Amino acid sequence: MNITLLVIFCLIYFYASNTSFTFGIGYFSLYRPLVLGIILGIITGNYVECVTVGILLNIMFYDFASTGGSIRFDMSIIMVVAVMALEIFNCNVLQAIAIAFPFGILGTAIFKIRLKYNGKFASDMKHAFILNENKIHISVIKPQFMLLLISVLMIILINYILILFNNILSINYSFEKYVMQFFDLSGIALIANYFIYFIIKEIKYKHLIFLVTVPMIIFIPKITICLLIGIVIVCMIYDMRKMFMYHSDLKKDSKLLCKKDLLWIWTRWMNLSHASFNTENMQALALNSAMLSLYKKIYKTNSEISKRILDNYSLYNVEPNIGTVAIGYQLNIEEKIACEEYDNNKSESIKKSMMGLVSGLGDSFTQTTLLPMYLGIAICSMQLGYYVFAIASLLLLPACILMYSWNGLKFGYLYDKIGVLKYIDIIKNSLFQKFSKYLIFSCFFIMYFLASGKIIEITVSLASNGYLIIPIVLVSVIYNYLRKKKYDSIINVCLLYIVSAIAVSVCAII
Amino acid sequence: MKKVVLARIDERLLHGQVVVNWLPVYDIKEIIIIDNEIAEDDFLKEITLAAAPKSARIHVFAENQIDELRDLQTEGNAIIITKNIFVIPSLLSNGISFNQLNLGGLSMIKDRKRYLDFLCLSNSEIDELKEIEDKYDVEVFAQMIPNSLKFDLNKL
Repeated sequence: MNITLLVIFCLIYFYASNTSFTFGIGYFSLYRPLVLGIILGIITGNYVECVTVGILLNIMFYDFASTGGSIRFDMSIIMVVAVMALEIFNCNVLQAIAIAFPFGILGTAIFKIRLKYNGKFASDMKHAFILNENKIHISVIKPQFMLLLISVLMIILINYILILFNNILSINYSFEKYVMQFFDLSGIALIANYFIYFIIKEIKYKHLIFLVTVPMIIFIPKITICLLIGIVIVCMIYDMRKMFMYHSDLKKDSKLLCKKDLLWIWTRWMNLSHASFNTENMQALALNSAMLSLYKKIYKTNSEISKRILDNYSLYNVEPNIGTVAIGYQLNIEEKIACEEYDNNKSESIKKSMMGLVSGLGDSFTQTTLLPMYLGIAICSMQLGYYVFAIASLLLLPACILMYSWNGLKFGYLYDKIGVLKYIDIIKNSLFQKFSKYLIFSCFFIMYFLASGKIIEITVSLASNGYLIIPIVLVSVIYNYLRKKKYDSIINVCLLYIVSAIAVSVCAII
Repeated sequence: MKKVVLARIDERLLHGQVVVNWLPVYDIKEIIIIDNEIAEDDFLKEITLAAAPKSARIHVFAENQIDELRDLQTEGNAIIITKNIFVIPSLLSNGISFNQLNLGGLSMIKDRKRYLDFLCLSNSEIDELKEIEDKYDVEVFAQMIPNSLKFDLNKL
């Protein structure tokens, strides 16, 4: 792999895992293996294999939802390393996934370091405000540079580990063959077990959806995909219309911020809420940074602004997109504090209570309704070779997120309490919520059905190439048994690799 | 009241971690929030009820409404969520029993010390938790979501 490609990989990993400065949509797009697979495929020229890895990884992480910063495996680093493995080892997609998967733990470690460093940064900034209340400056560039540095070093290190490993393998042919057999087996076991686990879990309850969607995708694939996209567009238009109706019906209070100010606040929040996420006070820095333009309009002196920043510096954690309604309402309250209609204690109590409530609604809407729906359609379209539909679905998701987040801010700020309640009503009774169960499981069964064909094909080819089908089955059975024991997911994956290594060793001896 | 499968201490109360992760795992149909600020503010109470997930019913109580909570008619598994560790003994001593107390998220404030990324506790809170564990035989553990690492109170 040449140096230019390595630099590109470093930058892509940094931007994808960072999810900051993307208007909040990086987490729903660049962070996903499917999207990364398309981009890396175009860059490396190895489009088919990169997209296949992206599809398989995305299916494995289909039920992934990061709530309040809780992740076990970082899917973006797995995707990037898998593509690096394809380049360095010239291996197949199974081997690439098996090589890359453990590095997901490193991605999580980087995430944790980032939270801690951001926490220290937030704490230092607080002391700076206390010491120098005449200087008002909030910037999160420094932790971003730190993250860039860590990301670059990590990708370079992984690159050299992979090259070194490849060199060691090339010394002895039979050792190389043994190791690659191990990666074949652990790769297939890893994917197959995620598949078996999800299918067994879901088919019991959703067998009717399975019985309808699978024949549809076999006989009328294009119409099925068009139907799925059509439904999400109708849902989006329905909610958009509802929002417009409320905008024209609800009475706006007289406010200090104009549309341009709100747009600036929204821009800052959407780009910084991930950038400054930390263990100390989570998103409080982003909240203050977003509210800075309002503070400047309300308060005349820097010391007053500094005091308000410190008042709002306690833990703040809200789902960034739907949570904009809480930010909007916080702006509203801030104006009331200036008019002495509210005191700081009351404001703090409302802020703390609202953040959790809105996050519960937001996380379940964005991460378990919108994301699997749009991403599911994109994956199915990609599997069937309907690239236009896949891209359309991948573009509609961010558009949808942006629509809800921008309107959330406006509802919370402009229409006071009634705006918050109406916005919650829009989200809770969204048409997406009504169709989500059918759409998500339709996509789920279609993608698993299509991918299973591919997996069976690979398994059969491995068996016919001298690998035994018995270790594959053995690993599957043992791994599924261990999984039911509910160990931590990292321990589960370690066990899978150990069982695979034992199975390959036994086969080699026999 | 029927079965309380889990009690959780989290200052964010009904957060995404609860709605997305804990509710499906324990098949929770009843969410009980014990919080004075929400119970005493009509607007917050209204938001709480409006924002509740459709899969579960939500109930809000103040810390001094333990008797009403005990008489609550529930239909399925319940979760109790509160910010205040000190309310737990009064629940347990008033006949509201559960076997697991999950420490979900408490931030750094005065007197507290950081034990985990998401958990800060004061000495008096630690003492209270130990007493809950010993006196009422409740398993006290810190865990963000069901598939993340679980820390027993003694190992914090």
